[in-house]
Amino acid sequence: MVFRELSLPVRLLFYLFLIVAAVSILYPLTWMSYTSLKTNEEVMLSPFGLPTRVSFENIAEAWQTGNFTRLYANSLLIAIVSVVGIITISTTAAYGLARYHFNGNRALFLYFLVGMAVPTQALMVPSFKLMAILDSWAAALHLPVPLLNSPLAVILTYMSWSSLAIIFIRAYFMSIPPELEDAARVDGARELQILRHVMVPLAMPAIATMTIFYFVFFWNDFLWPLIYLHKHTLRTIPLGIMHFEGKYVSLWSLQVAALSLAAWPPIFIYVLFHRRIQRGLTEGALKF
Amino acid sequence: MRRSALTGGSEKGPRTGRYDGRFALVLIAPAFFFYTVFLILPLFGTVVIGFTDWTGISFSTLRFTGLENFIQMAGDEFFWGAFRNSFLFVACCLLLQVGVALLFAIILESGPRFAKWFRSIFFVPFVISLVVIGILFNFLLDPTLGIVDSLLRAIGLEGPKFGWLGTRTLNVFVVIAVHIWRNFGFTMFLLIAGLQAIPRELQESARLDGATSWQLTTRITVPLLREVLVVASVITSIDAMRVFDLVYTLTGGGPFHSSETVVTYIYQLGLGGARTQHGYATAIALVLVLVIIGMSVLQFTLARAGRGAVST
Repeated sequence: MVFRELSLPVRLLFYLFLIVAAVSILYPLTWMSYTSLKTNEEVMLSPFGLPTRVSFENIAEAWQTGNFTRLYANSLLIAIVSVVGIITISTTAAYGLARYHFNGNRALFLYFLVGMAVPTQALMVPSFKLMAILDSWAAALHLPVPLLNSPLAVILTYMSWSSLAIIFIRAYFMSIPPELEDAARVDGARELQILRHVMVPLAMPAIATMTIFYFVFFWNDFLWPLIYLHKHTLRTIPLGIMHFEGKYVSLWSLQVAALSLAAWPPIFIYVLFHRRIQRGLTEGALKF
Repeated sequence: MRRSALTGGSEKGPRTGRYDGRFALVLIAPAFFFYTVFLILPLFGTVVIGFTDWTGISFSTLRFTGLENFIQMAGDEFFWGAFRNSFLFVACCLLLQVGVALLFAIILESGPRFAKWFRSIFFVPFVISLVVIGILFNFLLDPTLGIVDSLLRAIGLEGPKFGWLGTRTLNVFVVIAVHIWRNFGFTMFLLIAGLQAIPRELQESARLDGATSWQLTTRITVPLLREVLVVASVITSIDAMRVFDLVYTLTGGGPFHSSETVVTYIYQLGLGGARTQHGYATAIALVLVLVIIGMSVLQFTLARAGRGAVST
């Protein structure tokens, strides 16, 4: 179908669809953004009007009362540690599965494939029990690693979701011609050096795609922090704004400002890197 | 498009490479450890705990109750309500989310002005946390101050008496609408990737043979897109079946469980509030796992059967 060759009414109708959908997406986000720049009185007087003057009062106060410095620190810690961890272990595992012959290679691959069919949400009760049991064992052994009410519980859970990354990166490794590796081997490189200096740089497109894919999911995840993190000092951004809502029901402007504080950075990063992010998320999902 | 892992990607292991199996096992061991302990073990736990009334963490209190949990389910109207809502979610999303995404994917790929802008805008909600979206829509749909009701009043209409999210049945559809609002852009991107993989020559030659735009779309584009459409449908229905964040932030499952979905109900029974019914919650989770796997297998099977019918 070629758009230019369609009849005028059809073209107009299609433009109408596109514009209605775009407005339905942009309006709520724009409303959120400009409302957080209004003063409380203005919000009460005309909840949907544009601000008459820009005020950062609510933004600053929401940052303070919501303790956003903490929220961002917690979210970054969990997301970065989990992503670095899962990408590292998945890349090495993918390489081992893609490039080495040994008994059980195929069985191991199929074993990792099981994870693709499991809805992780369904595992919440046993996962919580497992963490509680490990936590009580650690306490009995006087180990200083609490697992309940600790970001570690969330990170360990995330690091078990390696199936997609392993399958995705393994397929990419298998598409790299073996000559490159053999050349390095002839030059006397050791196995780990080959992986680090030859194969990982070559597989960078796949690794980058997976990094984006997992980062977005870990960053936005709500359920697992909700299950494991009950202390308010440990809250991630989604948990923080959820509780922010509960605490200040009457103050709209402040709550909307808190939403903006949570939404702006991801939107900004999306605007900067939209092509990579779109590709990362789409390719990751299509691997299913 | 890259071939699916389940069909093309899993050829019989490496064709080239080394034979030092011990080193390979060292490379695989860390991922194997985390995956086995924190995913496979809980999965195994789901199967076991679903047949118990275990509440604590001490193994001495573990007592098997046979099918009791599943019998309880049969008489639990909230369980049926949650599954009914989740299936409603799946049906609406398959119809509307995939439908809208397909329409927009085809329109945008035909080359209207600002196609890239529209594409990028439609994807924006997908990078924003669902909690932000849920709370934001709480404001927009507020019965007294929300814009939706304000606009309705401006043209002399009246929103629902107890609010969009406080009215039974209606609230489920509202949550579904927000879910679709958030996700259709992503589904659209999957379909665009599929459309771009279709060789241009096929469409060109059909056009030279005098096919209309409608014929081109329905007879050539959509049939060639079927593989990606199936993948997109499976992803869409799995996402819809395990929805949690939006329900939790928009309605909390209420009022009085009317908008509960399976995952919010599991959370509520097992971990939220009283946190006591671990065995029962896990039994429901086990049903959920089976339903999701069954649903995916069904869709792939139907797609294969359909493909046979088309090619003959």
